[in-house]
Amino acid sequence: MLRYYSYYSVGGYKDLLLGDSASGDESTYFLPMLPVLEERGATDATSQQRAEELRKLPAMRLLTSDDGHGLPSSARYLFSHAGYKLLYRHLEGDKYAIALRDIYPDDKDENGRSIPFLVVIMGDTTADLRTLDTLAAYMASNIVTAERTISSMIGMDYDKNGLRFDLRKFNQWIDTVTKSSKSCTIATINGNITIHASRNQTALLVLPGGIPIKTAIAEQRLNAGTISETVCIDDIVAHDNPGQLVNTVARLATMLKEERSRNKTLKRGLVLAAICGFLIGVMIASCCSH
Amino acid sequence: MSQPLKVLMMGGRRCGKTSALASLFEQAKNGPINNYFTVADRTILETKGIERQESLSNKTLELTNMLETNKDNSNVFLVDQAPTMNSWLYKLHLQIPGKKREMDIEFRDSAGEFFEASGQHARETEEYVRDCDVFVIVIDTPYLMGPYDEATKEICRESIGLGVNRVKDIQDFLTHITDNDGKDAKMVIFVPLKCEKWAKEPGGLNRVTQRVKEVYATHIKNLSAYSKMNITIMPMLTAGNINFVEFHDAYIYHSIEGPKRCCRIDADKIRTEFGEIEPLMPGETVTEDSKAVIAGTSLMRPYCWYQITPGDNSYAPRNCDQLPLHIIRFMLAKLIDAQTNEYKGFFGSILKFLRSVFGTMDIDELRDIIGDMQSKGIIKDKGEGIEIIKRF
Repeated sequence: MLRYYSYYSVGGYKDLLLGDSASGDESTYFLPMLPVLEERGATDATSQQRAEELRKLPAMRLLTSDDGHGLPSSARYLFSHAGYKLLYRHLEGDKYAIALRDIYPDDKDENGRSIPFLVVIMGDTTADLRTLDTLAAYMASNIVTAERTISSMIGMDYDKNGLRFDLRKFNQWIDTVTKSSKSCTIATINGNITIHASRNQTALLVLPGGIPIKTAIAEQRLNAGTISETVCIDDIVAHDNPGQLVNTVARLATMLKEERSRNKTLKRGLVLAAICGFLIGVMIASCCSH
Repeated sequence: MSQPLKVLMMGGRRCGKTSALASLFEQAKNGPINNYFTVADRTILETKGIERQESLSNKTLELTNMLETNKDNSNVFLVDQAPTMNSWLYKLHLQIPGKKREMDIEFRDSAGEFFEASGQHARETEEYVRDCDVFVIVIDTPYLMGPYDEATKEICRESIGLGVNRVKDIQDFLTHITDNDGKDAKMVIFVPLKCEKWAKEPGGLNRVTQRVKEVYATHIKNLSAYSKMNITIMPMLTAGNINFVEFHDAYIYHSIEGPKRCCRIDADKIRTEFGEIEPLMPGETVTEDSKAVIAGTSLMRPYCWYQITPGDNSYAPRNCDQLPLHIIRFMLAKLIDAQTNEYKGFFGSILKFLRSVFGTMDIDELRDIIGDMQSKGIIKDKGEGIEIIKRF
């Protein structure tokens, strides 16, 4: 079963269990006002009624130092420390997790600020591994889309006066991604990398731009020898970010020129041609659609 | 003592930890300490993901900009500078001019969430407490005095004041102070901030100090049991002319432009965070601000509304120079204590000689510095609410 966690600011950052893949609930909620209304409800019928309505809603769970709601303590650094954009690693036992951080929500807060959050998707059986491998590869190759999708599914619900997570939509999204994308491969300027998680390993570390690997290792308390694949976000051939794709092509062209001048192999030329072909295909497709 | 002195800023959300630290650095670099040391900010600004550690001078700039922006604003308004979201290290380097005698002081500034005893960061905070030498407990004074003042005790009850300032949680964290069986000296400074209103009242800061002693009585009693413990109360004014005026229940105004914080004037009117009174338009609603719920409780914090001193928007911090002075005096006393214990006997004398040659602080020099600071009254041990409860 997959479980979903987040570090989200609701009047201060909270560590939350958002829901899981086995749940049939449409949405889950974090309702800071519920204890307030319950207390008022002792003497005020309106508050009591409102509290009763809200109590029926499926609830997110707050993680505490004593209760991680299934998340092992080894995952603590995913929340409290940085150094990565996307991290896919073994936690302990049969638990593996994908973490994506620095996602900006669609909504701005009352001060006009967009406060970033993170999401952790954890599988707790080996049966989840195939799903996680595929999901990690997809998210790394489509970070912009993944962020936009996740952002659209979590935010303040002012009617309920709390945080809402669209759990059913999220489960459907994961289902769609893993069914439509059978590949566990990420295309980078240095060639394809295949993602496959295994025990005691970090299957994938995607570094944010400008962050060296040693920062990630220090922040996340990783063992350098156990990281299977590391890639900088700028080196990924992003499927959903034309701007980055163009930059990647330009960098690749520069690198190819330099390699040619040193009489290197044709391998990167093929990759460049493939990317150019992909770009041309996208342009033709977009022209045809108009 | 070759390790840096480690200082932990503690306190609830939005109480002013970073602002206090910014004032401390400002005064350390530009205040009376400069007569004794060359002071340099040796902080290496980190990046954690997208969030970049902010330079403390920017924090001071936020304060001065707020004063300037509200120069002709006679309204009451909400103050909300950017909150800290992570845990950052800042470093101050001190050197005796012309000599190779130097020391570092390292400050840890963490988001208020780190001081929720049942929160995810609790273990991390406990580690920081075990590791540090000085603990600056920043107190949000309006919430400290709210339950005490007749005008505000209805809206800001005792439980709210205790919750906002995380009084019980900080008491729990302080139990993790380790003093190596009485060998290591420690210091705790209670720093009430946002006390401009009380500073302008006769005896106001003394009332604040008295209130600190009441609310934190258990902390003080527990801390006093440590043999080498300094305990000080030190109200500070980081701005000087931004005065707390009143509390109001926390609401969100759902305008067509998006949600905004506000308070209710009546059923049809709200006061925006900038202090403007506006009517509610058709379709616009007002709800209680769920983000004002105090974490882990069923309590809602009322918002504090502030006003610039009429006719005076000058930046006028007060006693901000005392915080670094007291910390440095403690640091020197701690060093003397450590070295006095080390320099016993023949080998102790050799160690002392080697240390004087190779650059760490010398006992006699340190005593001279402390003596000079005290004889010239540069360090305030009383007055304006400052009170030393215990000193080793």
